[in-house]
Amino acid sequence: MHLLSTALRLALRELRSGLQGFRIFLACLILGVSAIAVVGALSSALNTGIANEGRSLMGGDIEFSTLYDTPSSEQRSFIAAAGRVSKVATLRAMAAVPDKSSALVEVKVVDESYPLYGQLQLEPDMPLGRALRTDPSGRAGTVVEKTLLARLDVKVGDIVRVGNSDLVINAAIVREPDRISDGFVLGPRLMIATDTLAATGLSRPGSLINWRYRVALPQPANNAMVKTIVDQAGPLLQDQGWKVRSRENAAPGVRRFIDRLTFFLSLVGLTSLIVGGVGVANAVKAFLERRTRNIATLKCLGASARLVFWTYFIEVFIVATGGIIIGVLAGLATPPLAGALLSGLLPIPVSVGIEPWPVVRAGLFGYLIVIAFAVWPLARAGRIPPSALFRDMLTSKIAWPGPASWLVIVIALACIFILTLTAFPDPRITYGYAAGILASFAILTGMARLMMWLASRSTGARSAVTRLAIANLHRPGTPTPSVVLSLGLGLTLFVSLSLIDSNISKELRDNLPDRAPSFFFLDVHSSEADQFGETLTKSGASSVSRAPMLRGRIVKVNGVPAGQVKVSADAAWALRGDRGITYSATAPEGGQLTAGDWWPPDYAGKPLVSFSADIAEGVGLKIGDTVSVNVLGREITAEVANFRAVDWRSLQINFVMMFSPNTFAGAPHMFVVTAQADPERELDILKAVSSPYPTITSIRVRDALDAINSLMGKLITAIRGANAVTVLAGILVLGGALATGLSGRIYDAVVLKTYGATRSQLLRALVIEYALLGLATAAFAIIAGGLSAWAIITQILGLEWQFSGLIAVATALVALAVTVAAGLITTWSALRANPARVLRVD
Amino acid sequence: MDARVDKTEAGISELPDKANAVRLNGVEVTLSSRAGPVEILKGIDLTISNGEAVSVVGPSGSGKTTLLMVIAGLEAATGGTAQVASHTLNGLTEDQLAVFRRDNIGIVFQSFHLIPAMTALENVAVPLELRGTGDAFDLARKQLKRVGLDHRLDHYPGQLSGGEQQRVAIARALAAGARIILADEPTGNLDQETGHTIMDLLFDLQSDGDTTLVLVTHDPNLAARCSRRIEIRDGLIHSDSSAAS
Repeated sequence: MHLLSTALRLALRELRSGLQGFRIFLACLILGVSAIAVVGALSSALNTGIANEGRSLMGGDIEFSTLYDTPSSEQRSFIAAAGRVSKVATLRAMAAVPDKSSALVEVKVVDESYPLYGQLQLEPDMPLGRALRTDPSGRAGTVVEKTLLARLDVKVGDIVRVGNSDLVINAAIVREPDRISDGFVLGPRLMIATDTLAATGLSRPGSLINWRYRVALPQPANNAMVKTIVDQAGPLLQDQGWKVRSRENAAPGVRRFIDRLTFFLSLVGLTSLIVGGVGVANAVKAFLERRTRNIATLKCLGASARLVFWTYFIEVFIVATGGIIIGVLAGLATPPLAGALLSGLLPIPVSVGIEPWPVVRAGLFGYLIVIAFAVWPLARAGRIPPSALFRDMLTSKIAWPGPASWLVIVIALACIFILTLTAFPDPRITYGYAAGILASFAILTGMARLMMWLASRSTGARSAVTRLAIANLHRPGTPTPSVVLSLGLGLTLFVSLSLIDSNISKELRDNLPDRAPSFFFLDVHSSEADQFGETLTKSGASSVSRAPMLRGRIVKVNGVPAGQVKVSADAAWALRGDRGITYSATAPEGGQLTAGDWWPPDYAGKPLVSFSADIAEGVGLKIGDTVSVNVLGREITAEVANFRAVDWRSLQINFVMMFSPNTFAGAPHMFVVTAQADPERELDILKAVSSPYPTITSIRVRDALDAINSLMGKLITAIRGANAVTVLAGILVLGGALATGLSGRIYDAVVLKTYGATRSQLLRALVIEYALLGLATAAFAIIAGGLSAWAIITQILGLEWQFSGLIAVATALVALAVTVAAGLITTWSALRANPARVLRVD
Repeated sequence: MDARVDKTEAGISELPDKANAVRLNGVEVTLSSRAGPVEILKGIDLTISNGEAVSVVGPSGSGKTTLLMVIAGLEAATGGTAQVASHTLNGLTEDQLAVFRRDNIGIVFQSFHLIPAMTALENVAVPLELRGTGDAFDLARKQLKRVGLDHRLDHYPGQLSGGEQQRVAIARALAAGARIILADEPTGNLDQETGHTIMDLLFDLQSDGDTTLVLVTHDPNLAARCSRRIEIRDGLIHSDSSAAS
């Protein structure tokens, strides 16, 4: 206790001289802690907002959905007994102004009870029932999103054709409470009443319609009650192909998006804090070097190594607390600020309450980083010998810290690792991230040492300036290791994210022209399929192809319920929900069989199925295994006859499962048709088919990809913005590392000037030194960032890899510009120093 | 890229006066401070011939070091003219002054002023490298051998004793063939015996090469070893022994 109280007294005495030397230390901590706190608090506020508003976002406490509106009486009475029910259907269709324009719309069919929760706002303001009712002349009403009015160039009061019906637009939708529960949407909303659906002719057997039964439980309904009913629904509904969703999972798509965004942002936030850790270590080391005389004096007067350690640890801890508090305050201020700034911009409610855990976690990260990075220089300071008072510290031997310091550092790193496990959803990501960071540290440190070693052996340079620059890279006290480490981590992440971005964008963009169809046409009835194909060809479309399409979900694999089947992450989607399935007498053109044989054209035995090879491998299927699918409410079990190689990126009609034709004999179904067209003919083709085939839904691939690209674009912009924080942290650390040796550089410059060095010679030496550092770091970043991006693109996303030379060059230029600029800015004063002043002081 | 900056590039022209190493006419140095301007040199007239060994003595704060700085081109005269090694220093830019020092001046400081991150050999080679001398390291090695430090070539200044550091500084001052050696209290940080050794070395090297030596010192014995003694008081030359003799 006496030791600590003495250390505290000494620390407070030291602090009286101010925070000089702690600026970079504080900047690194504030930046890193606030980045983590803000990301965590924002994500938490959005998720809490979704959870709080869950029932209005989903339109009920529980939703039971099915593709076939044929509930059994038992299912019907179960749903009715749960509470007040609203039946809603969603589907895609075309809305057209005949001979003028048409657009894909997301149709929502609602009953009188809609919405069970929340408010639907219309303009002009009127009850929904009145807006959707059929007028005495027999014309039904509709309400639409404003974007549709603009797209079709119509206004409230005009008429649009949907399917076989002409509908009057009675109002525009200003706010739809359950809009985001639909997930990914391709077009604007159009709402009609249940009665109107039948008249449109859009509801035919095999049409792609999602029927949703939403239930408002008797109030107050807590989450336990919701869970009980969800559990009860398992055998009766879920196992029969229904999807059951509770208000806690109101917007799974949005939530997944937020989680993914949070993951990437946390990744860059944490990296910037770790990069900042290097700055913390440098700053503490530089601070202690300035205190060497004080420490040696204390030691001469009888202070122990422990007392010295604790004195400066307490001082660093107090300063760190100041920085961490600022970072934490930024996190605390985020939800209310985001609430004020984002309301109206996002279709998601933001909870403005204080989110304690994300900011506490950020603060803990801050302290742990300080301990992990500052204990080493602090422990070394404790071992400064009293003789340092009389000798140059460059050559003074300081004993290495003992095992206790190592132990503290290892424990701090372990705590950081455990805390990181709570930040990332998948522990494998934390393992990979930790391994990546450790490897980067080791490689970057090794690389810096190698650079110094090569520089110390380089005698080839003919010019004195170049020799001086190279010599600066390896001399005692050189900032080479700090610069390479601080800039290297940030740049590696930068290269990695840029390459992932460029590969995904390229995949979406460049593969389109030669392979992809221009259109997908859904809900093409078998009776109209031939004629529809002819119309397409006549209006200029080519490569028209079609396939029968039904919807079905895998319910069992080899008799084991789908939910219990162990499946790899990249194949899980095939077992989740309804999939398009087809049948064919012959093997698809270009589809190579990788195992098994195709059935004969006139095959009439037990149902057989052809599986896509990649999904089959993920599910663990072998030839001869059985798969049970629920189609039209009927469970069909088929034997796996063969596996096919499927190129999902071709955007051609591809199916996970193709059945032998006898499997679905007599089952009502539609066709899906694809066609290619010159981009300038696409709109004419749409016009040519929209009037004669009002019930066929046309999806323009270009529009769908634009929608996907825009979503990806937003994600990537946010990640790039956050990555800028990491690079900024790197620059801060870089500036700090260079500033650490500034007084030495000023001294060197003055002595060199005294012996005849001109400013241009000194400037050239500095530029060469910093450029060498920048380029070596860029080389590492390009290799390490390229490798990690390659692993993610090829091993995780399964896409084709292409290295971008542009990104490599850009990275090299950024590294060059940043190091040279930061170097020159920090050492400019060395070039301008007046020799007489400096020489007199010394 | 060559580090060499030649005189024509630097814009320096030599004067025809080859007989005198230093010629100061009415040199004044006034520095500004918060308390107002401080007159350090108040009009120095001084001529030093080539090959002379001159001591500059006087009380602390009298302006001895400033006089040395003016001769070295490290401090600009605010009044009067300074001609050193046939160059008029007034009006030269910082870079022109650097080239002037490189080619003509060798300086030895009381606190050595070696670059701590460079070895003894590198410290001595620097002025040669800056001149673009091809065999800079060979010449530096020879100079270190002359001062008896050929066994310490790869040592950093922190690994050398005070006397050894000063010997490196002398080797550096002489390495580029300086015509004028300026020494500011070169033994001030050394014990008496080491100081004697250093001064013997300095005087031997100076007389070997017919070099001009200007020595600032408080030590009357050291001053007595020079052929001429100048005493400065309050920014003015109080006495000049050669002038008096």
